[in-house]
Amino acid sequence: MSGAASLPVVPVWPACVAGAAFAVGGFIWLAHAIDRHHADLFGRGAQLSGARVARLRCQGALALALALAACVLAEGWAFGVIYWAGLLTVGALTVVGALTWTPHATPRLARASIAVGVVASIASPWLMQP
Amino acid sequence: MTMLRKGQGLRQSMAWLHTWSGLLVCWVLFLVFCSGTASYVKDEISLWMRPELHASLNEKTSPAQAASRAYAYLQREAPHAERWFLSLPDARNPAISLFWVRPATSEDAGKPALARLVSRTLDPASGAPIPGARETRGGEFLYRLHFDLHYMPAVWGRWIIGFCTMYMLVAIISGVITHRRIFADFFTFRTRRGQRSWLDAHNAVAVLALPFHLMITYTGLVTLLFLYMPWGIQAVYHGDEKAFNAELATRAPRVKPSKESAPLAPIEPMLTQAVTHWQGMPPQRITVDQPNRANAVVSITRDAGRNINTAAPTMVFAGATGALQASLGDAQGPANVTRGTMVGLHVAHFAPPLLRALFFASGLAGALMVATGALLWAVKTRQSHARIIAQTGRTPFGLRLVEALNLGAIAGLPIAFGAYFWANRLLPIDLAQRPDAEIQAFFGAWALAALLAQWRPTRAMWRVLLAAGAVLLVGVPVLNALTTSTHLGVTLVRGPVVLAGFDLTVLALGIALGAAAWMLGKHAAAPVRAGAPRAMRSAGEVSQ
Repeated sequence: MSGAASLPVVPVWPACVAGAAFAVGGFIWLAHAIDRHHADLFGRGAQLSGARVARLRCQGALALALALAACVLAEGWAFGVIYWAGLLTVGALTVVGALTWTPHATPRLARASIAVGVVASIASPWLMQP
Repeated sequence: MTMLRKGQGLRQSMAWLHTWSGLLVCWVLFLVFCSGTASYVKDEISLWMRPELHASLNEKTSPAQAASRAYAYLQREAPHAERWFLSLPDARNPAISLFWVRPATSEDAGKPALARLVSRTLDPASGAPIPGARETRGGEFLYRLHFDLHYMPAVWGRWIIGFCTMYMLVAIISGVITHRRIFADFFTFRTRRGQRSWLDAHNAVAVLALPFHLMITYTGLVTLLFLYMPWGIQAVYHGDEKAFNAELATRAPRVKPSKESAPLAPIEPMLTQAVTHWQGMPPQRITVDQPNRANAVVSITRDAGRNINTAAPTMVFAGATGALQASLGDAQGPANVTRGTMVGLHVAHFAPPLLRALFFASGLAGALMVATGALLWAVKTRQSHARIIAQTGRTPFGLRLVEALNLGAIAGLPIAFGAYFWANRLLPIDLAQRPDAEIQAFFGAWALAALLAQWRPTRAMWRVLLAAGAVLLVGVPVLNALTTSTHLGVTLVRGPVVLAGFDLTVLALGIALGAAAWMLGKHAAAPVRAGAPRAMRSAGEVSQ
């Protein structure tokens, strides 16, 4: 604990970008697995197949887990979990806004967010040079 | 309307509990959430409110230099004080903050020691107050307001806040139990549906920031644990709080002044010894008990650094000789670490800027949760009384009271914050009791808004007060540009980032208030809503 001062101060924003992007993408997929939001996208009466629900939930959960991994790898468990909780809140509120005002853009937004998350994660060892 | 009847299910009885426990304390909670959210950036607010300090922002002074300059100043100005408190500059705060307790005179009889507290802000480069710098309590006022309230003894404020926080905890837990579709409605926000929209908004800001809300409410109670639950100390230590604190060994025991005087030993060797002991971690705070007495005690407390635990270790020295007396808090007991960590999570001193921004956003979600909950009650009650109101043309007393309090708190508080920042820039620099005048501007503006709300709690008044808050907040960066040289035109290009951040945050909040006022006007212009019958129907759904 007392050794913390001697560690170099590493920029944390690449991990935050990755965490936020994974959170937004993951939450959109989880939302698409809910009847109401599925109907918003594909019209009333559009049936969600069980396999599709399972796949969307799996993808969503995986993305949220990746968000946690990005935070914990950058900041350690104690701080990583706090970052993760905050980013999940902000990400989920963003998704609520997107589903309310531009529901048809959400599939693209999900793919774009995940792409940003992956790029930020891969690039973060270089971006995080102090 | 939610009623409690025998034989109801758990969900219905929890709905009753949630409604009334939340409503009873919501206006105090709104103040607590707003001032608490501001407290996350209290150093930044204090900095913005002291524009004369902005010039010394880029100077780097070592803790030892800053401490010896502050020492020299205190020896000149307050050699006979009972205690000195020095806060050294750090990443968030470029200034040296000093407090001292001046010796009691005959006029001070019966007053608490707090009344004898004198404070100064020093420029670390010169070791003296900046000539002509304005006096202000800055973010410290908002921080104290968060748990001490104002215009009353601090301990009353703390009991009131504790009572309200307990209700908040009850409201959160009962709210989770009573929410029937917590996962199915996780992302749901249906606009333009009257009461349904308020419920969706309340659910969204409450559920999506639930980890924060639970954490902040529980740890909030823990911060004042020993005030609310002193029985453990009473039982084990027979009420001897000093013995308890001594055993906790986090701060040096207070000493009575000895008769002999003796000059203080220089501070630098003690600082060097402390920093070596902490393996290079910097000091943050220095307390000198009975300076210039033979039994003076110097306590140096470490910077919390990147530890969540707020209870940082302290080194205690004999003031006259500089000899090390004790090293406290190096190995803390598990219970104390648990408490320190919970308090740390609450105050978030450990949080670097990005994490601080996330805490700030969650705090705003908390304020919105309280506001939307209060508004939901009023909207729902007005709808369930719609027939009686239409027949008699009179609003029931309770409903009118709640509507007026909602208006006064939710639209009034931003006006108070705006007035506080405006007063900081506009009051004459050399005004006597200037910090108090700023605080009076805060409460004066709020009282005016609250009175207007009580006089006429109408939609038109909502628009007037929201627009007033918007103008005041959007005006803050403009006013800053007119009165200082560290405005957005400069800070966006050359920094410092914190000052640009303050202006932009206040601007964004002002724009949000303006948008709320504008939307109210838009809806008022189209009074016949297609969604009205649907809103009535959903009213039945919710209150079942």
